[in-house]
Amino acid sequence: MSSEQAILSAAVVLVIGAGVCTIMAWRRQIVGWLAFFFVALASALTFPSALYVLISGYDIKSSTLLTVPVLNAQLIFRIDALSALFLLIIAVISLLTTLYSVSYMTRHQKYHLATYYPPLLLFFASIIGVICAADWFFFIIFWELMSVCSYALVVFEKDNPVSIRAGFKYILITHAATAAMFIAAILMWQFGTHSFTFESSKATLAQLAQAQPALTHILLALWLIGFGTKAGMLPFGNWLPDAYPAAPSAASAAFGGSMTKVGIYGLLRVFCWMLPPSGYSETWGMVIALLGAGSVFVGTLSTLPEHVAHDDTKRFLSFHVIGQIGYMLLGLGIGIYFLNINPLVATLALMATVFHLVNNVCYKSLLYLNAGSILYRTNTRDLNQVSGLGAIMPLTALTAAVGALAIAGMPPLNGFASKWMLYSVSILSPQPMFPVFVILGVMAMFISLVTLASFLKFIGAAFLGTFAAPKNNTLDRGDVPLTMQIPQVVLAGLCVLFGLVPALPLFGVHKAISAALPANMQHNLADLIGNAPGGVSLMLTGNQPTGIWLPLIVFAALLICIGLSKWIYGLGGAARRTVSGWNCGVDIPSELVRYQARSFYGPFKKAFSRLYPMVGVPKMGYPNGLARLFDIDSWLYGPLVRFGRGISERLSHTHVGIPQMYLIWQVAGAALVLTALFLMLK
Amino acid sequence: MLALLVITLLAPFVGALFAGLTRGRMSHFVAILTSGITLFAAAETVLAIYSRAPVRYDFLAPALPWLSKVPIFGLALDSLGSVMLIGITLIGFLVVIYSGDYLSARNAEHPYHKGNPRYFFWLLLFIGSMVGVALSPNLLQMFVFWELTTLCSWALISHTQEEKALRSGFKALIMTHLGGLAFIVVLMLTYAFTGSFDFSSLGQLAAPLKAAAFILLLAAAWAKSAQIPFHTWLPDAMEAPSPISAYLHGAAMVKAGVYLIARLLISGLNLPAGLGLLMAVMALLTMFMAVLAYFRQDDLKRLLAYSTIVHLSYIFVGLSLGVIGSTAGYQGAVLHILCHGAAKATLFLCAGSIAYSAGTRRISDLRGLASKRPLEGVVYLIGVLAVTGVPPFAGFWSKFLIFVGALESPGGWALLVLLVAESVISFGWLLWIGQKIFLGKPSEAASAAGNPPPAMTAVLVVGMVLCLAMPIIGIPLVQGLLR
Repeated sequence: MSSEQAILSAAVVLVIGAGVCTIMAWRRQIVGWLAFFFVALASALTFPSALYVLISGYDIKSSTLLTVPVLNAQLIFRIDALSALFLLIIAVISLLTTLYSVSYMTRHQKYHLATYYPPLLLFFASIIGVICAADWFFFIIFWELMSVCSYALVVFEKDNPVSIRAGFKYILITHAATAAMFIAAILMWQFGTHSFTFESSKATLAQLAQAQPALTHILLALWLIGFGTKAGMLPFGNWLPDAYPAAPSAASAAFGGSMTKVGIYGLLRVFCWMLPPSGYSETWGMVIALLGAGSVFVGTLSTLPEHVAHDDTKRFLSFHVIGQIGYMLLGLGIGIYFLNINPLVATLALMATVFHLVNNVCYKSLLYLNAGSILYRTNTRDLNQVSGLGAIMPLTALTAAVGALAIAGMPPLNGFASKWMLYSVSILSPQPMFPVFVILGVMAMFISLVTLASFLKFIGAAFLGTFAAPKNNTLDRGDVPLTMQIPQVVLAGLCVLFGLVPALPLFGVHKAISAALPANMQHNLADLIGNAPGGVSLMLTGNQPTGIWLPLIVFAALLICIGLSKWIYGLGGAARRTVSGWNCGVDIPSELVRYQARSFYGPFKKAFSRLYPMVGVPKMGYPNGLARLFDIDSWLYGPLVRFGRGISERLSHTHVGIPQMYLIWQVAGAALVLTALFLMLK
Repeated sequence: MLALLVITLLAPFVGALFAGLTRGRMSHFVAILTSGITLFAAAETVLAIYSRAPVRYDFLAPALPWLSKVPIFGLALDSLGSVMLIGITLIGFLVVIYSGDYLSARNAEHPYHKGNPRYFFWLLLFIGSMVGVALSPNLLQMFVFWELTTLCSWALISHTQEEKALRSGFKALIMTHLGGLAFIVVLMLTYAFTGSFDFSSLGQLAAPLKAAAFILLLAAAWAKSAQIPFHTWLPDAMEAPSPISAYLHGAAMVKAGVYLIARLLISGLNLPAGLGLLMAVMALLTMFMAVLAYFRQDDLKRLLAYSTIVHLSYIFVGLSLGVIGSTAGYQGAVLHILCHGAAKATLFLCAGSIAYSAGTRRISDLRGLASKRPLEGVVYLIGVLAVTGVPPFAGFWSKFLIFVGALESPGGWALLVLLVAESVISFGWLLWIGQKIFLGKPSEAASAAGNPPPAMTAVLVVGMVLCLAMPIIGIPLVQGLLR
């Protein structure tokens, strides 16, 4: 079986799996494993093929599977290294989240599982379709299928008004964004060769860029809106903090790990692969970078204030999704900006972006799963209600700590490596006239501190401190079931691995970026990140490394320091005492003096409350005049009919039933006719 | 071929007769049988059209000496007629099956105790007269069947014979019949000036007369297809039993108007672009009027009726693009007849099931119905996705062609933006209503909802499949049009 066949059959397996799960959904115990079986099969088909394509760098194209005659739309699947990288991500994330679902979904006894597993599997299948489609028409079909499936997952708790509102907002906003992409696709069709294929779009775009600048800008804007909305870019990401938390946690993890990233995939496909490097790249690169920096700033700072729904863990993570997407957009924008000016810097910026994306997939999914585990064990998403959970679920606590430190960019974890690359590129790269990227880079660096601060709150409030169960709920000791532990451990392991050996993911990322860039812009991996064993030495200027990051050495140094401190601590020989907290001599229950999530960062909260412009669905009255205007019956037909009836009624008065009256009418009529005849004959 | 066409046309009429004469469940059986035969014969003929050239048989009437030179009766089928025929017979068959259980004493909204033979008589007559419209080779014959559909819709809308239903039926009759008067003026004009009733004879008229004749026919089509200013009968026609609404909106009656215009456009009329502009402006006016009316509706069926008006406007927009010279726009319009038909019929049948089980169609009384009737929830969702054109469902394909057509035409930019805006608004509102009805805590009516009979749910499932499959049937038929 060739690679594209394997990947296509993976999608088919998922669709079949969705069907089987629909039928078997009434067997609650079995259906989860059944879904996992199909997802595992699909992943087993996808993973090796995608890995093969990524490493070999081939550009595989399927034959035309289906043609829509009147539109000349062709169902072609095309898998290049860029697609392959995203396929790898989907393969891993789908497997882990489905495995997590098996036990996790037991907490949703109230709801039928037919509304969970089938849409989840179809969601994965449609993402495969989105990533492999090489034709705008079918791309949009898969894209919208993805939206509809994820909508079904968001409204999973179908009697919860919050979920329903969130789902509605989500589907409406993303549907409008799809409409923008839709218009772009039709414009390409019309102004090009009446074809939807990516190849012809590429040629058309190159042509339009020369001939019709205004149209090209409109097209690019439409795509940016379409993809940026799905990615959660400011200001189109308004739906995200509502929608992601509403879905079951495993689905949230799947969204955070794949759906937002598909938006970045689309941007890469359009702005790097399709658009030839030109003045447009500079303009739109700058726009994307600015929007990205805005997302970083607003998304991350929004996690601090109180109003984030009472320190709801998942909502808090969803704001971080926006912030993290902002980092990627910042790198992406810088990369696109430099495409036409300095291909080397552009390549490095894009690599940093995609590397950050890969890392983000690991720790963001992990954190959603952690939040799910807390929810599973304690039945609450409110950070204020729990404390010291590390005592009863140490593994979840450990993995959550890894995820939190990774997202905050602590060395030697993976988040640091990619953020370091991003900062270096934005600050050290040759600047345009006004050093705008320096400003954005420094700002992003400081926002990273906020990320750390807000995750300290998460870890501190949930896992550290003295153990306290939520009200009316007794918790026995014990971590989550094994099927929920494995995904968390795997993801945490990936965070550590990619942090310690960044060269490993960068190898794949380089292949993917090379596939997205024109042939004359290819660089060897060694020319970009040097040859340091496992590490990265950035070659921003071309010959001299501008910075070197050797995580293995740092890690070794860290280990040595820890060993040293242990040794010194042992030397002192101080005895450990366990005492209760001192409340100025007053006996107060410990939950009253606990340092809760809401206690963190008071001044920040005041300063940044209501940072993200949240728009509710406005209430509007229906203008009365409009209603009357549309009711044509009342002002046109009604009066007309009444008028007609009035006339006929008046005419009916002539029928009086007296023969003499009729005779008079006859005489009058005869006289009239005679007069007329006389006049005519004269 | 001729025999099949004759069977397609006559089977519903014969069936109507027998259904009217038999009693009780027998008339339902007769109706299923004859509409099934019609569907089968229609499918056979359409299959032949896929591979062969259109067929046309004309007959003279020697017994009428003053008309003996002109063929006044005949049967013709081409790919445009096939599109109509498929919709008419397929949805008709489904509606007939559905009706048997819907019109029972167990119907929670409105128990039906008697009158089934009358109902099936008129329904089959309706199917037959719509088949007649689709198969007509000339204006005269089409007019005869056209008026027959008006009559049938009058009888079916006022089926319950309640005060409101009688008023609505009468209103529909008067308003569409007024359009019929315009039609008859055109008949006289063409016969007087060209001595023929053929569709193409309109093209032989002098330019101003041709324009006048076309506008008159346009008025007839507007009345039939519920466009401004003749749209007010359609929302009131919701007093009809739900399967009748499904048929009225999905395949019959309102589609006759757009079919007439579509037929004229491929008859070599060479219309000036100004007429296309007139059509487009009126269609857009209607479309946004109807969209704005969405927000005031509390009756699920009235909401869907306004959605039908919107989509008929879509078809008119596509047709007007055809007048201006866009092939894709025209093809999209014709395909939309079929795709919208499937989606809207499904939605109305779904609304019927809701009314049947919950006893009300008031949106404000329905909450959390999905806990009792999850199937209707899924059907409604699929129907909404199909009708608003979310890929890959039916409406997407036809709307896409219309959008392409819009771009092909001068100034299509603005049109495209308007159409896409409408799509998003419609999608949002219909989905919002769907969420209100199906999600949330069950209301009193919803928690008391019973189960509709299996035949009705089976029809819903078939409708759901059609929401996905209709383009597969339709696209090969429309791709040759206007080339």
